Amino acid sequence: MSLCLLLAGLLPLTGSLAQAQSVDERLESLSRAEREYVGRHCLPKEYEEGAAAYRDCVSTALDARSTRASVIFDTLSFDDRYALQEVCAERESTGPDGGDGRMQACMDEQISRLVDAPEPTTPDPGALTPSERRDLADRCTTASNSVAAYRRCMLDGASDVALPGAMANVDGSPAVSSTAEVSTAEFSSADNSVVDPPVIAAAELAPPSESVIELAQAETTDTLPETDVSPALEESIAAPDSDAAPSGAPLTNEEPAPNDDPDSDESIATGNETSVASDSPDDAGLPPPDIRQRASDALARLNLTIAGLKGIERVVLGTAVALPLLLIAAWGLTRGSRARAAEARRYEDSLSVRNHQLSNRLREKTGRHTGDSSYPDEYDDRQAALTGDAAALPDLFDDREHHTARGGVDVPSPEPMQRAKSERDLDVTLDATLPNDIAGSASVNDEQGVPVDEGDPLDDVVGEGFAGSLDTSLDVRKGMPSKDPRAADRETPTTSTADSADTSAKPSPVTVPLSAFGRWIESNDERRRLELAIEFLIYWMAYGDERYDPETRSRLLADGGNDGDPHDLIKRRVLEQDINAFADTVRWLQRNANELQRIQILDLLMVLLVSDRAMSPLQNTLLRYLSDAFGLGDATLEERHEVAFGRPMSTLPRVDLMAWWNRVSEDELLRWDARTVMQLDPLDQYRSQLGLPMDGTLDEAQIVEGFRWAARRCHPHRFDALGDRERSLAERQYSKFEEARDRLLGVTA
Amino acid sequence: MRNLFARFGIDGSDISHLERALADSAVQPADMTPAEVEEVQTLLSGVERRKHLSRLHLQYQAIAASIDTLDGADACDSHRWRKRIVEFEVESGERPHSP
Repeated sequence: MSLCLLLAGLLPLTGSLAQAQSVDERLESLSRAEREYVGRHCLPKEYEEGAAAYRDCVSTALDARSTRASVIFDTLSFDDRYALQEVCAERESTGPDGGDGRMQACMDEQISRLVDAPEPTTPDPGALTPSERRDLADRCTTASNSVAAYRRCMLDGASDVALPGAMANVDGSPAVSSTAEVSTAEFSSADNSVVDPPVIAAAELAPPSESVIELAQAETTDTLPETDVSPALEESIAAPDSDAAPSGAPLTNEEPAPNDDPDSDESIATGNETSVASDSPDDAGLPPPDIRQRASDALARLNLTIAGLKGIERVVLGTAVALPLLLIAAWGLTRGSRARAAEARRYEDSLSVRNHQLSNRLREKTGRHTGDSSYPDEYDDRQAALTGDAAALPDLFDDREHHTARGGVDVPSPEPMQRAKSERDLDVTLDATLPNDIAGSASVNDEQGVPVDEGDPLDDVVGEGFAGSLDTSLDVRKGMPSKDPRAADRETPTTSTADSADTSAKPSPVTVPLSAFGRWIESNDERRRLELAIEFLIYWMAYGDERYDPETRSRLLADGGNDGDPHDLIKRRVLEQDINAFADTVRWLQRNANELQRIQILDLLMVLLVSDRAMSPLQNTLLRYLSDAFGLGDATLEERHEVAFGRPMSTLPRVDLMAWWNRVSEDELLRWDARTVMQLDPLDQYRSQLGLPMDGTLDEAQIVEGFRWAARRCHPHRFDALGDRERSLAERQYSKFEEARDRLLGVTA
Repeated sequence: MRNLFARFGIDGSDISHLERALADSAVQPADMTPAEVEEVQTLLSGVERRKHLSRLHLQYQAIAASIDTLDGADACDSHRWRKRIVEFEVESGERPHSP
């Protein structure tokens, strides 16, 4: 399509260029003198009116030459034209002030007189042999001072040789045809004889009588109108002119200027004069054409052509010139983009290799599968999923910006990398000081004592509001039937794998529920089980950090909550710290949730309960264990953490070591406590929700950036393997982040 | 991880009990050096530290209760959990931190 449009646009330019080329070609066909004349005549028009006017001028001149003037000149017999040139050249060279005007005047005069002269019809000059004709022409040229006299001389001479007594045609009827025929025949023979011109004695031919000539001129009218020349005549005339020289003509290297235009225009005649001179033997003495000059002329013509282009033509020409450049530029950009893409692929491959290496190391250490990091990143389609302000802020979900702003998800910034290394060093140190303990397990959240916990994502629901809010958010399907949870609650577990104290033994995984809670979960319908198990884990992690309403806790522990309410049952089990219920929940998820669901369960826990830079030791430990139990491994968990928060996850906490605590600031310690955060100023709570600094002035970019990360974590596509209930929880969390952003930006009161 | 509460024979959930136990110089685990005991006492003297330690104790007990999940074909063991939970394994049905 584009090509067609381009071609369509190029058509006018092509026509214009073709026209310019045609004019140029026609100019090239002229002699140099003619071209110079045309230049002198038409260049002023070009400067005054533009290149188009120049072309028109040249075309007009050439057309006029090819019609009116050329009709007269070209229809002359070769002998007449030769005589015309000879006579005028003689006069010009002998005149007092030779020049273009004299030459033109001479030719005009001679043509005028020649037209009025009688045309020779008989005798047939073709009857003469070439040598005879050449001698006769030489004699007549010498003896005649005009073309008319030359013609009559030739007629007389021919009559004397072939048809004695033959007279010139005095009735004024055109005899051009016969003359042309003679000329054609003449040149046909001349082609064969020009190499060896015969010599004829001038005395054999008598000069024409001037009186006869004058008489003929007096009685002859103009019998050669332009329109009387038939195409056949033109053809018959043109033939010999094109490639033959007259017999005995003193022209050496070119034909006798068949295109020299004896136009009435004096300027044109001037050019003819020069052309004739160039056709003369003197032309051999001209200096060779200067290549530079020709190039300059060509460049000048090109400039004129370009300058003469009109608006659309210029546009098309510009397009034609620019298109290759654009293609080259596009090619360069494409190549650069491909190079960048290839580099990115190489980098991703290296990351993949890194992850696989890590997984392999873990597999070697544990002898088990450590999980694969091939979880598809569904963030690409993030914009269409969120509604409301999320849709109005599509750029907030640009992963790459986040990665760049936070040192990269895939490429941890030097600071966290250095920090991780430092933590490992600390771990080694701690291991050396801890007999009978485990190497590689200590961790800190900030090696330099800088607070890394700046808030809690659920600060606004901790304490008084936490339990109720979480209950409400989890009760999106409240009223769904459950199968007698109280009855299940009254059941007691039969056995537990916790009975085993032999850590070297590897008992087979438990495949049946060991607690009443586990059996209760399985008693629900299949669609409901996953929701209940996830809900239990949410409460387990939240309540583990004491994010519950004390009154609700007391009520639930006292009377078991609302009868038949599965949420109350779950909360009560959690508040009772039923580790067997926890174990059964983990087992059930391990057996029944697929890998993607297990990954998204971890994501959901982080979204709902973990705030940026505020992962408590309990959360860290629990997430790491669940990741292992779910078959995902540390590599996948840390990858998910980096995707969610843009920074590496702290290593496994060692809260039993004072050295570990020494690297945790009091401020950080304080911020792990959601209840403490709930007592802060509302704006500080919003800061903590978005992971923003708690002190100092915030600019808009910081707030938006913090919201970007928080909103990204809540993206529904990150939970598409879970149910509507879990996605609804994430969306509610997103709304809280929105509110925090708006309040901090001052959008809402 | 060390179960400091168990080593000192104290109930982590009962702050008053803990304080009394820490103040009692006679309470000293046999497998701990005086320096280690002093370190633990320093650690447990902090309310926030003690609180988080208590919470972690529960999690390790829960992990111990579900450690069999790591025996599954698709499970991982990135942190050698079995060794970490040695001091936190509880009897079946026991709820050590139940109110």
